[in-house]
Order: sequence, then C-alpha cells, then structure tokens
Amino acid sequence: MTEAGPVAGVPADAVRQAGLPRQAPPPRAPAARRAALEAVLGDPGDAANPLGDAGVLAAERRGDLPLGGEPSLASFGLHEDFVPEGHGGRLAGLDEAAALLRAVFRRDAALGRGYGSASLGAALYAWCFGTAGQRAAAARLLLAGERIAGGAAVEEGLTATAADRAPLRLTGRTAALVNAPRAAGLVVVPRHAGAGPDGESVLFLRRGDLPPGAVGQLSPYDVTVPPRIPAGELVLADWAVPAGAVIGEAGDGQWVTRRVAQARLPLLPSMAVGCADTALRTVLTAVLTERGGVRRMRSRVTRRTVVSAFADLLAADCLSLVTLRSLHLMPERSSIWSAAAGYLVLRLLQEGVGDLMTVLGTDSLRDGDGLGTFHKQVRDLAGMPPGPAGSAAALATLLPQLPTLARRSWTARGRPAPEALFRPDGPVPPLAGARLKLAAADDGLTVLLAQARDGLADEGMADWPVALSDELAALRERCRRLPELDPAVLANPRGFALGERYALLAAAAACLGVWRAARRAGTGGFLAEQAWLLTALGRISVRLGLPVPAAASDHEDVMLAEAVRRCREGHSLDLYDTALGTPARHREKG
Amino acid sequence: MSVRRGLAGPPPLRVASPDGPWEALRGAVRDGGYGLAYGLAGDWAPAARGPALRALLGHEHGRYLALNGEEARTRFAVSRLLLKHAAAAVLGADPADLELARRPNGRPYLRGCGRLDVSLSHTGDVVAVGLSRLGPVGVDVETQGRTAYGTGLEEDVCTAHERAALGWLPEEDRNAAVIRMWTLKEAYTKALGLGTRLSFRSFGFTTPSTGTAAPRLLGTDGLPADDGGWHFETHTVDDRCTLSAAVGPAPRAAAGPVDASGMVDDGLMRAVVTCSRKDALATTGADRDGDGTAGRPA
Repeated sequence: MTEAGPVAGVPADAVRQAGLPRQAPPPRAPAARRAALEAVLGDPGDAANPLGDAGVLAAERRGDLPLGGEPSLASFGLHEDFVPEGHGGRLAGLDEAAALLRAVFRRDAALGRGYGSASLGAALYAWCFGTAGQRAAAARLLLAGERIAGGAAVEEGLTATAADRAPLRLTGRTAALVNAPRAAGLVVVPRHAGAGPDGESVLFLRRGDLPPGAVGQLSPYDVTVPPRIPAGELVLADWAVPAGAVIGEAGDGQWVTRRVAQARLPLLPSMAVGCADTALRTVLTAVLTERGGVRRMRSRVTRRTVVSAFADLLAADCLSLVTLRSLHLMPERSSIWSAAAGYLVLRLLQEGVGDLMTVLGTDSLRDGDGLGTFHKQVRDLAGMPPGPAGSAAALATLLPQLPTLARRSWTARGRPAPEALFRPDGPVPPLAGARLKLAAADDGLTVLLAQARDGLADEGMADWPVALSDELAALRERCRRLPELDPAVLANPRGFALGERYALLAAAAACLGVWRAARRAGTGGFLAEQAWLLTALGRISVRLGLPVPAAASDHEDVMLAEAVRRCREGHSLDLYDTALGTPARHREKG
Repeated sequence: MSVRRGLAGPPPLRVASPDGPWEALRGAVRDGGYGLAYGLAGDWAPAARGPALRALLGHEHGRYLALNGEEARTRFAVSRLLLKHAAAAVLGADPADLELARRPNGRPYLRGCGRLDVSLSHTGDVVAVGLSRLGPVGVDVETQGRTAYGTGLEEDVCTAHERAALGWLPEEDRNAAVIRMWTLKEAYTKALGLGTRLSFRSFGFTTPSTGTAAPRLLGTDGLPADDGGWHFETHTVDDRCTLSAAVGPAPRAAAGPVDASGMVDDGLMRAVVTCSRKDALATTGADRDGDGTAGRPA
C-alpha cells in the first residue's frame, strides 16, 4: 500500500461508529512525519552515513550508540512525538508513535530505546493516570528534550514508608533503570513497608528534587544493563517524597502499573518490526546482488524463506496495529489483544527472520558484505525486553479471560470490532487511561474468524481457510467447559497452550481485518491482495498444527515481487511501505 | 548461572523409566541452565505399552497409530514419554498437560511453555533429549559403530579445514571424529531450527576427543568464529553412541526459574479475575475495578 491514510479531521466518534468514508484520502500527517524522519536517518545503504547499516554496525562494535544519532533525533524533535497533542506535543495514536520509532529501530534498536521508547513508556504513567499538574510537568520535560526513565517494573529493593499525614519516605535502591543517569524525570514504583504483595505507589520524581548523588551510573559491564544504553540506579536513604509525586493514590501502584502495562507492553514489539524489516531487507539485498555463497533467487529455499519471513512480519504488524489502536478506540476491550500481542509479536518476528540464515548458504556465519547487519538485528530481536516476564504477564491476562470470552463471544453472532481498528494511520481519540480494563467483556476481533466460517465470497475470496474458523470453534468448546473466574484451573501448561492458541487466532483475525479494511477502502494496493493474507494465515495455521492446503504458487510470486520491489526501491517491508532515507541503488548482476 | 566457557557440562543422564530419577536433570537445568538425558527403548517399552500412553500423546496419538510397525511405534512412544516426563519434571507439571507442537520450520516445542526449550534425537534404540532454559537447544545422537569416514559423508558435511584436520588424525580416530563433527552440526542446526537447509559446510567445529572440553565453532577458513555465546558439547553415552548438544545463549541476564507456576504472573491473574468478577463485564462505563486490594481511588 501507499502512504495514504484516512481523511484528517474526521471526528473520532464518527470513525468509531460508521467506519471511514470511501474516498481516496490525501496523505495524513503521520505519513509525512515518517517521511521526514526517514530523511533525517538517511540511506541505510550509504557507507558514509553514520546511521546507515555500516555505521551502526561499527558503532555496535565500539560499544557506542551511532555517531550523531541522538543529536539528529533531537533536532528532528522526535521527543515531541511522545507528548499528547493536548499538551503541546504531536502524540495522537500510539500506533503512529510506534511506527515512527520503528524507523529508528530499523537502524538501531539501542538508539530507539535510549532516545525514545524508554521515555515514551515511562511517560505513559502520566498520560494515563497523572493529574493535570503531573501531565503538564511530564510534557514540559519531554518537550525540552529531556528524558524520563523507569516505570518498567515494581522495585523490590526500594521501600516506601507511610506515616499518617506525613509524606512517603523512600529507602533502598532500584534495579537498573535505562537512561537514569541522564533523565530529568524518573517513574519508580516502590513497595510499601509492611504491606502485603499489593502495596505499592507509583511516583513521578524530578531529578532536581532528588538528593545529590542519588542517581548512580551503572557499569556497562553490569549484566542487567542493556548494551550501549546508559543505565543507572536510584539509591535513597529515608528520603521524603515531595508533595504531588504520587501518580494515582498512595498504595495504588499495582493498580496503575498493570493498566499502564496494557498500553506500554505492546509498544516495543511493534517497534521491533523494524529490526525484522532490516534483517529481511539485508538478506534479500544479498540475494539480489548475488554475493558470495548466498543462495540465488531461483532457489526453493530462498523463495520460501523470504516469503515466509515477509508474511510473518506483516502478521506481527497487523496484531500490533490492532492492539495499539484498540487502546484508543476500545480501551475497555483491549486487554486480551494487548496480551496476545505481548505473547506473540516478537516470536513471529524471531521465527520468520531466524530461518533466513538458511538463505545465506555457505556465508551463514560471515558478517562482511552487510550480513553483519542481519546478525545484529537477529541478536537485537532475541534480546528485546521484557523477556520471560512479558510472557508471564501476557498469559496471566489471557488465561482467566478464556472461559468467560468462550461463553460470551467467539461466535458469528458477536459484534465485530469497528473497521477503524484495522486502518493504519486512521485517526484515533486520545488515550483515556481511566477506561483501560484488565478484562474484556467481549472480543470483537476473533468474531471476524467466526463470521468467515461461511465463506468470504462477499469480499471476493473464494478459498477462505475454514480450518481457522473451526479452530476458533474448537477452542471455544474447550474453554466453555472450564469454570469461570477460577484461574487455578488454567495456570498450568494445558492452560498456557490454550492461551497460545488464542493469541495465534487473534493474529489471524487481525490479518483478516487489515486485509478487509484495505479492500473496502477501494484504493487497491498490495494490502488489498489475497496473496499476503493467505500466506500469513498459512503460517499461523502451521503454528496451530492445522492442515494447510498447498498455497497457490502465484501467491508466492506476488509476495516475492512485492518484497523485491520494496527492497530495490528502498521501502520498508511492514504495513506502511515507507520510503527509507534516500533510496539505495543496488547494483545487480544482469 | 551461566554456561562455563570451554568446558562441557555433566554427562547425559540415563533415565530408565517415567519414575526417573529426575533430580539430577532438574538440578542441571536449575543450576546450569540446560540438561541432557537419554533412555533405551528396552527400558521404556513397558511404559510405552501402558494405558496412560494415549493421554500422554494427546493430539499425536493418531500419528502414532499411523506409524508402520511395532518398532517404529515403540520408538515414537518412548521419545514422547522421555521428553514429556523430563520436561514435566523440570517444569513441575503433569506430563499429560504438555503439548508437543512444531514451529513452521519443523522445530518441536512445548506449546505455551516456550521458555523451556526442548530437542529430541534417536538412533537405533537410544532416545536423547535436551532441555534448556537459556536459549535454544539441539541434540543429536549417532552410533559410533557407524561407518562415516571414507564413505564420502565428510565431503558433504565438513569444511575444507575440517577435512584437512581429519588427515592429521591417526587413521583409527578419524571415524569417531567425523561422527562428532556430524552430530555437532546436526545439533547446532536443529537448535537453530534450520536442519539440513543450513549448509553444513558453512561452519566448522574443533572436535576435542575428551568429553570434558567444549568444541568451538569455526568459520569456513578454520579460524574461530564469533559463536555469539553458543555452547557445544559432545559425549559418549552407553559406551557406543555419540551424543552432541548445542545450547544458545540466554537472551537476557535474568532468565529466572522455569517451573510452570512461574510462567504466569499470579498477582496479575488474580487482578484480572477480580476485574471480571466485580465488573460483571458491563459493556460500558469507566468504573474502576478492584485488584483485590483495599484503598482503590473512587
């Protein structure tokens, strides 16, 4: 598809209720913003560009961030994209913010985290649950180009003591906090002294209020410090927290943290689509230029592996898109999709990209000729936080909801989610933290699979993979037999497997929704074609253990042609088809 | 906890029945991050005929019934019994709750329990499993009596450097060395999920003849390659087989324990239930639901 989004200025309510008008829309601001950022980041293939593939790889070997990376992003004003429009910034939809930061992740995940995603994740506490004063303070910091650190976890080593009508007092030390040594604001969640497992407070602290020396820099060799990003810890001894620092209510930290996590956790996987994008582009470029021992384009292995990685990348992007947009459009329903994305998106990316190593043939271990960039992106994907804690949180959110949703939803009678959920760059209402809920009342996403059971002839699709609809019905039957509100029944590997099946079905439904929305928009383009949808669904079906009919060979041709076109023209391989920096000119053998 | 660089871990543990003993394997995964075990079909055959087999195989039961011949069925059953009982012992779970699924590249995993990676291999009556809570694991087992050197196999699986290195060995050691290289390459590509699609001549190994030293990954030029933290080892088991293993690095420093109960955030799960219950899942409203704690803001 092209960088065309829906019409600007359509009231969000109208979008939610009626979908979007069917007319060729002019480019909306997010696409222009992405193009402007791409221009700053420059041509990834230019060896003289410090933010190009070679420059980033050299910086990684030095253990540094790429030369001039952060100043370039600062002069671009990327920090403004972390502040809601209502507070003077440019943040409208989290899907747009993630797509923007994804451009940085395409170059270097460490640069993206250190400059941006860490601050955005911490600032979400203020945007979702801060008072007007706290929001204004966070906006002032970020708009001045400062960073906010923390907010990733409850601090087990930091204790808050509360006395009647006296301010909270903090003692102890935090775990490693990304960016802490250079942050002007910190979000920390200490435990309350003497409280049970659920007594915490979320605090928004300004660096200037902290006692001198309270923030220590950690050695880059510390195993808990992510590579190449400055990290530090906060060490306090009986320090009185200033008035107005508590976000939410004192003692309410867990409540706030869990809801913010619902919006925060799907962000990084969406940005990580950029890592998979570059990995795939690097391998495809090596194939097209017929370098060294790399397999040729006519190889079965090359064709199948490249198409599979492309399809997995698009599926991961669809689930991310739906999740991030649902936080704005249907926050009460977003918990289950957020959990599915947290569980699945990184895995889809890792699996698709990991198999590309076979395409490198006898060059699989070499890191010259740009292949080092492939290995770097694979490593970055493997090391992407939050790791096991993320999947534990995702399963904890998914499992208890399965018996309930099986009883209330997952049938063709359910009400499907609005079309606006599936449109990249469509306008969304501002984030309303108070509307976020940990449990969803119904599931308008998988309804799409149930409704497709009787075919999608209306949508011009003759061979809908019915096995996916049947798998949803089978999951529904199994989950309906389980008692509601009794998580102990599901907190075991049998339950985990059900949770994984749900996540895969949610991804399939997200793909269907994005394809259908692109088709109904009537603007044509790659996303409206069946080839990518059926390939992506085939990969998901294999993961579910379902029989997969042999894919039509023209699907593979369409996918390959699109991937090659984007690679040659220097476009991104995600839903946005963004032109990257200055298009690279690859010399190819005739 | 981390893999000791340059040294192989403890030898693979022989387990004779579903009853274990599993303590050593549990300890190896807990303390070292990964564990290797093997079983002989003869030891496990009684369990493979038992009434619990059907439940244990789960959705694979149909595939088991479709297998041709008693021997193939027994070997299949033994491999699943060994894998699921070993994984269940490490996870603290019921073996029949584990579903053996496949990634699109064919690599097996335990659905929903991806934090504990698994690998399976067999040769003749020997079944081997690898379990890892670090990164991916691959195991491969092969009979040492198998003629490999001089059959042309080394032409297909060895780099030029490896073939030259074979020439420096005494004639009688060459077959064992080819088997070690071959199983190491199988183990590594299985761990990567790439199988034989990854060219075996695109990377090489040193093959120390003692089981206590860890082989190193080499480039096609015979120089040490950046192994990215991968760990390799090769052992002799049951005095007649070579068992090789490859273990990928843990992506994050804090991998944490892998018991099944630790794979889900308990407090969060209770909070989700409370939200469902209190809210009765009204379809609208911005009411704030409880997390099972007092003092919620109104």
